[in-house]
Amino acid sequence: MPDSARLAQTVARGNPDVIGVLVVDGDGKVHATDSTSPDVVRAAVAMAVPLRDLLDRTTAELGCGELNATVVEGREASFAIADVDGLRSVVVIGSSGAAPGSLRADCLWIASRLREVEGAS
Amino acid sequence: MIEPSLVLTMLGAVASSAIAWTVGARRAQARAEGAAGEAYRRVSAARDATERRSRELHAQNAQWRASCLVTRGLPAQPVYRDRMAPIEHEALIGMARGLMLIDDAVIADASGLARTREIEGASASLAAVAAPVERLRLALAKVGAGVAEVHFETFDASHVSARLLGGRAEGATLLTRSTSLRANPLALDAVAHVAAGGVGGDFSSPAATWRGTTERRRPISGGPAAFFDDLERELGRSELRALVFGAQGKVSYTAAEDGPAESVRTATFLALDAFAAQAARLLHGAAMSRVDVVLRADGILRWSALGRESLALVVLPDDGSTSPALVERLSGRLRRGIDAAREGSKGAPKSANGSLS
Repeated sequence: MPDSARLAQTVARGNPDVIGVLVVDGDGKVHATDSTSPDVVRAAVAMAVPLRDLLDRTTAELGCGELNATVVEGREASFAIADVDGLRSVVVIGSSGAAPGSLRADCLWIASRLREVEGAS
Repeated sequence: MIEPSLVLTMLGAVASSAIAWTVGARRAQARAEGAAGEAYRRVSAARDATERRSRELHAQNAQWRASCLVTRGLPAQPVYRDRMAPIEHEALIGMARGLMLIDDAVIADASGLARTREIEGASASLAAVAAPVERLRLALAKVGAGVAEVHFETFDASHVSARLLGGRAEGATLLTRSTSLRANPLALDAVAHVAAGGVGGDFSSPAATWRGTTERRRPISGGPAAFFDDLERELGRSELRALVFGAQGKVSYTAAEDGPAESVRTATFLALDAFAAQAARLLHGAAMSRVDVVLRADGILRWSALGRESLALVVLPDDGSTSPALVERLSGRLRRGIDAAREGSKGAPKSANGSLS
């Protein structure tokens, strides 16, 4: 099993706060996905590329440097997005009531583990 | 017949005596008034000197305070009256990071997002622990217990302390991580006190539901009787008020001696069990070994992992303070008892629910 899939599984399985995890690159290619709600993940894949593009441009325009992570909090639920290597993004979609901080922490953890594993290999 | 000259002489003597007495009395009065005036002047001078000294000390104190704040990069006057400014959070976390043993420290809000800079890769995970701490606080508040601090230890000897802040930092949690040893709780108390801005905490007693129930019940589905006898023997001793034993969100045994009602015990156990699972998942490390919840009123809730099962203890002192060493000894004794029961039950037939086997 690829590392990204294994990490996505580690975060998503048995975790009631998370309904989906995906790792997607700038071309829209999905490297890993694990979800209890496939419809939501399909929508997330479609939105991840334009969202990442918008976030990259916004952070650059505002002088914030390269994107590291962000959390989008909805009234019902939240999701977090984090950068892996400038191309790929990790998206963690929370269930309703999940703490935004825990989604961001999971997102950053997957991104950092991916960098470690792929840097070592 | 009395001579007129004698009468005149007597009258003269009386008059001269009266005059002399009056003059003496006036002199004495003048002397006394002079002494009183002198004393008043001295007192006034001393009071003026003291007031001046007091003003000087206040001014010196304000000067020192201002220079301390400037050294730490803080404004002389609070930016926000009712809450801490971001720069104050950073100053506070600077104090916590300077304490011995502490590897990482962060202040986070109830959603698990850090209010301070994350200096390590794992800081975001540490901050995220504030969310399950908030859930635990709410769950225990429902059964009438206020949480002051949550401390937990994982099997890889990592210690995390979550201190709920009050006063101007209300709603925030100070989280610290240390390895091998727990950070000094008194030092963390001092940091929390600074954060509170001198506003006193709530040290009210737990609700009445935490005392007064005595129930000793055998597990419905059986189990090694000697082991549960040992557990029950500990109740009422060493301020141990209640025991809950179970696995994966299900209570298999619970008892109390002048302790909380069964509904409170069960709710407490389930809240602690859920907290342990959530916090361990967020830290992506070793499994949780134990959780200590220090109540605002004196008392400690201890959750310990025992393989697939877990044990929760409710320790409430009659008076004085709960000794962490006492909870440690008690927990160790029960753990040994459970291990011994496991060893004893290896050859014995399994209980209906498989507990302890």
